[in-house]
Amino acid sequence: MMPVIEARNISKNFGRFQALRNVSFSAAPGEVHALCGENGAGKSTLVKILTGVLQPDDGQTLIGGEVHGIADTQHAQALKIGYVSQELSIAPHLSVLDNVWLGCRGVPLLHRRNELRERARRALNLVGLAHLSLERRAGTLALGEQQLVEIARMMVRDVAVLFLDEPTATLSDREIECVFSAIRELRRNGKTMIYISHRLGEVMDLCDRVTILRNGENVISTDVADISRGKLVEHMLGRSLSEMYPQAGGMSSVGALEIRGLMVPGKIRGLDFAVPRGKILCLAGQMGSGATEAVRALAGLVHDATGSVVLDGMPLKLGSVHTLLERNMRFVSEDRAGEGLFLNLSVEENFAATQFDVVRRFGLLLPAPVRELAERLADIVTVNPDRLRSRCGDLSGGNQQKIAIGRCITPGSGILLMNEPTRGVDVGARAEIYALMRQLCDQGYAVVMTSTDLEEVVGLADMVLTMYRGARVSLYGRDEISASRILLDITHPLTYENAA
Amino acid sequence: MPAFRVPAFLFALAMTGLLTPAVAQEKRVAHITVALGNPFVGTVAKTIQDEGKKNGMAVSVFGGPFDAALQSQQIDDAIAQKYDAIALFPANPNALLPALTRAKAAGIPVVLINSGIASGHDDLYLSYVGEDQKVLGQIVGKMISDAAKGRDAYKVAIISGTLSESTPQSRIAGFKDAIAANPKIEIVAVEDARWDTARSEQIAGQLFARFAARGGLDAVFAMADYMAFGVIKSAKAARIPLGTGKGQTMVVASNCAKMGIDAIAAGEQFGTATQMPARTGRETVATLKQHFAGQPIKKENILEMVAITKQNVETFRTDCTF
Amino acid sequence: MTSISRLIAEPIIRACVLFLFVALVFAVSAVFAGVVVDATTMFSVLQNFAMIGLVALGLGLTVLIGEFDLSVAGMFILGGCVAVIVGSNGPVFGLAVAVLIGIAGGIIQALLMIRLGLNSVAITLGGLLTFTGIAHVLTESKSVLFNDLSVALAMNVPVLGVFSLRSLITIACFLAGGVLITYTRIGRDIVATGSNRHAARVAGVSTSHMLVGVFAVSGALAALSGALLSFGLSAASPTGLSNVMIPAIAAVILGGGSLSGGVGHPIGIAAGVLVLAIVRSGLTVLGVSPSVHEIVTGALLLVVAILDGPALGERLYQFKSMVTLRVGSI
Ligand SMILES: Nc1ncnc2c1ncn2[C@@H]1O[C@H](COP(=O)(O)OP(=O)(O)OP(=O)(O)O)[C@@H](O)[C@H]1O
Ligand SMILES: [Mg+2]
Repeated sequence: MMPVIEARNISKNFGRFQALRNVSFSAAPGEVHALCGENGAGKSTLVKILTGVLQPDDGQTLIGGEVHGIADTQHAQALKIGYVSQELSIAPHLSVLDNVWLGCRGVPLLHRRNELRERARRALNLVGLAHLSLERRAGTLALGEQQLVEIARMMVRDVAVLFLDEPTATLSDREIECVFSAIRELRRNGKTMIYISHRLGEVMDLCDRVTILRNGENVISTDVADISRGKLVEHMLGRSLSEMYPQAGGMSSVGALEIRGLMVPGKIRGLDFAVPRGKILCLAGQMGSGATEAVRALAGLVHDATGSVVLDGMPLKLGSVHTLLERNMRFVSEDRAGEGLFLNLSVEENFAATQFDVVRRFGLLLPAPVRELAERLADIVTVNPDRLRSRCGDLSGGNQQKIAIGRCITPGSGILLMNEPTRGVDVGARAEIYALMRQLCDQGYAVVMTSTDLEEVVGLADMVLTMYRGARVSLYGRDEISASRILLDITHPLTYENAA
Repeated sequence: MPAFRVPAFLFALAMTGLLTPAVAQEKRVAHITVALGNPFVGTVAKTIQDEGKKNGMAVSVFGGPFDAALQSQQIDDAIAQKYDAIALFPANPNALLPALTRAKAAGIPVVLINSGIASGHDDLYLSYVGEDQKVLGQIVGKMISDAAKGRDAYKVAIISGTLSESTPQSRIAGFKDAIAANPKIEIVAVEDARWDTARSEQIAGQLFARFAARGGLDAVFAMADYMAFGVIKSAKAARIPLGTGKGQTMVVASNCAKMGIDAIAAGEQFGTATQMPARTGRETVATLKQHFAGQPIKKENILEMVAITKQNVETFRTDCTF
Repeated sequence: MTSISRLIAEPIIRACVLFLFVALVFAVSAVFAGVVVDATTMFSVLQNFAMIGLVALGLGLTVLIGEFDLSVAGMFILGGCVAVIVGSNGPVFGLAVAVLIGIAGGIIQALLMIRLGLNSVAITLGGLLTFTGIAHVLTESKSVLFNDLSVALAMNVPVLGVFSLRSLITIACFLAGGVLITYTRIGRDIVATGSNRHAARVAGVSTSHMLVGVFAVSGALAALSGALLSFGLSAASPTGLSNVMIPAIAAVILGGGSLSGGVGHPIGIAAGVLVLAIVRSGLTVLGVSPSVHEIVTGALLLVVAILDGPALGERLYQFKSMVTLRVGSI
């Protein structure tokens, strides 16, 4: 069959850096085609070229078998190409309705039509946002809902080819299911989809074909049915991955973080738990369960949180970031760009940013100690030391996450608070981050984290505390953890009744 | 939200507290003027207010930056508020004609202070009180021509008040008339310092540097004494000798202020002319009083203008102190 | 948060509430002072509204799209000078030429911004200086008289008691702006561009067209406003007949505009301008010293800034906990 969209021998440079080298790609009508590769492999770059966001330096794009340039995003739309970008693309000040229709060529100049409302409604229903008011301001939605609105945006358009760049990275399991059903619906209607995800389970379940990129080059393009998961990972990394999740260490250290009666009005209704040093505790819960807020509250970022926190037997004032830093309690946000890294600063400046007192000499910030610290931390978190001077924003998501963790490593062991430690991180880097977290625990750290990736929760955590609507459901030790139990706890309304 | 009611209440209270209840029998005069921060303008306004009170008038002062649109609006407001008279220090010779036309139609007399309006519109005002700007320029021009007698070349720079106003334009015209007879005198620069001391100082500094290579400036005409003060400061900083001799720079101005009188007495400034705000204010009130009493009024009340130099400087100490 | 504070957080509503509040305070003060408030007072307010309205509207639109057009002050002056000079062949012709120059100036600046990838503040600062410079050259730095005084009188004749030609044109522009932003695709695209430019572009909005359009409108409105004022005063001056920049910025902020883009609405801006107009006319009518104008405007801006904070609730909370701490320690 003639491919609906094709890229031939595409090359793309960013300055001296070559992001794509002679890459070819084609998608047949009606298939769901996965695009896989490590962070920085060039997946997004290829997609941006095929959707008119970027122009290739070399090579051709073909639409329906004919060579056809794609000038810009409006042109792509005219060619019936749709695109859900990796970066969140919501206009926060506009309503949900306006965001759904944003940029659509078919909208008449005077746009407040009932027909538009109805079609938007249907699209939102399709992606599982039936409950959402059309007039709600998009900026007030949760991250996952914003992502779903973006997908709904493509549903109202007349698209033949739809590119989805990591659409599920910020979504909970329930929301992911909604996206999948929408994708299946589109496939039934004969649309072609190109799907990027780091979650290989999704690729295996959902997609028909897969193309793998590594370091900006083609590796292989094959039917999903013809490839095993292990082989897929091997192609992506260029090596085989011995194990994803490291063994829990037998080391036990003295001291613990104890939380009693943690409350956040409207979000958390009294939460007690304790994490001994050397262990990873995972708070598991869906959006609205309060898991993320609990971690943020511990990090001192929720102004109306109350409760008592005791670290190693000594009380800790809640809500004071300053005290937290003094007691070596550090937070790694799920929103790397917003409250994680200084993307415009260099990698070494990012490493040093939270440790001025370590690098200060005679009250001055001198380049040599900064560099020394950065090199030491880069070595621990396995970031290439040649990139210390690069702009942090130019690094791949995996590397950025390693830097975010690296700057939490302090002299003496501390507490690590992490929301979604591997969001948007590829398999290889993910294994490295897991190993790093375990290594820190073995040195006496305790980790409190949240994750919406069930596989990660089961694989990584020593203890799992399940939450539903702001309250604890159960606490499981290492041996009791199972995916089905957790899933039941975090989704079953009955449990809520019991817990209340 | 009780938290916001409190400031709101205080605000309302503050605004009502600021009101000045008008007394009925007094004649209400609106003095619409320009930037009150300017010493000349401020003294005129203060004199009109004080003298007005003594003569049974309630004077409201409406200032603002040199903003003709605002003045036009203020005139309209004064018309709407049915003031008995308007004393106007115009910011622009042209832009107030429509508003003055409306004032005339409403039967409200206008006394123009210090600056005139475009010629051909004499019917729009009751009387003009102030100096003849052109004559002030001529007085200064004469001082310079006297000093330039017998010299082969004589370079003068003018540091002017806001050039788009009529006052500086008239003074420059008068100045040019007075020096026309002596072709050796050359005006080498006309710079706009907008009636500002600091800006005058800065511009003078630039001029001194620019003309240093060409034998320096023989004279600087700064339009006001407080501008000449800036020029003198700048000359001292640049070590430029002040005086009328060859190789020296002579500083002259065309309205008097305390700092000018002091500088003339000290021999740093050569001279200035009698443009005196307190006198202008007094005359304005006198004119209004005559009008309210139904007496005949001089249309052009041009105040006496003479040169002030070291010889007669002490006579003007009182009126020139502001 | 209570529903009232949520409403106050909505910029347009906040601006309108502020307007009603200021109007009320003025009315109450007038009663206390025994000053009669009638059609002439309304007329005066609307004249002040006309003076800064259009410049504020243009500036507000650029703020809405996430930029800042400093050059409006220069275009305001240039528009007035051009209109008066060219207007000797008929005022409508003068007005048209001024507006065309405004559009051209705006387009050139926007194209420079897009091509050079530069920030609007840098480019429009250049525009501001260039436009005033051109005005100085055209007028030889002198104030120019427009000979036909009847035009000026006609511009300011009260229509229906409270309006004038100038204020009617201004109101019409605001209404058109309101319709554009609320009811058209273009308006939504402008808000999207200001709200998140990258997102708008990816979604298929031609953000550069929006930028060019908004700056063209901003230039046109500034030039129109300058021309109308010049005809109203029968004169033009290269130093400006009025300082509009600061009141215009104040009006945009009072009207709920946010310098980070995506927030603001012509109706809100109109309310902001009206607030300033009431303060100006009102205090003049009440006979309050002019220096108080600035103090009152400053106080209003402060109130708006406090209400505008993204985390009003948080700040109130901190304030409360601060108070309880103090009380507790006594
Ligand atoms: N605008 C840019 N300027 C400089 N370098 C860039 C730019 N965009 C991408 N890169 C670099 O190009 C490479 C490929 O980036 P791309 O975003 O295509 O990776 P990806 O496969 O989508 O990775 P991820 O899984 O993290 O999204 C990366 O090394 C990235 O740092
Ligand atoms: Mg990507």
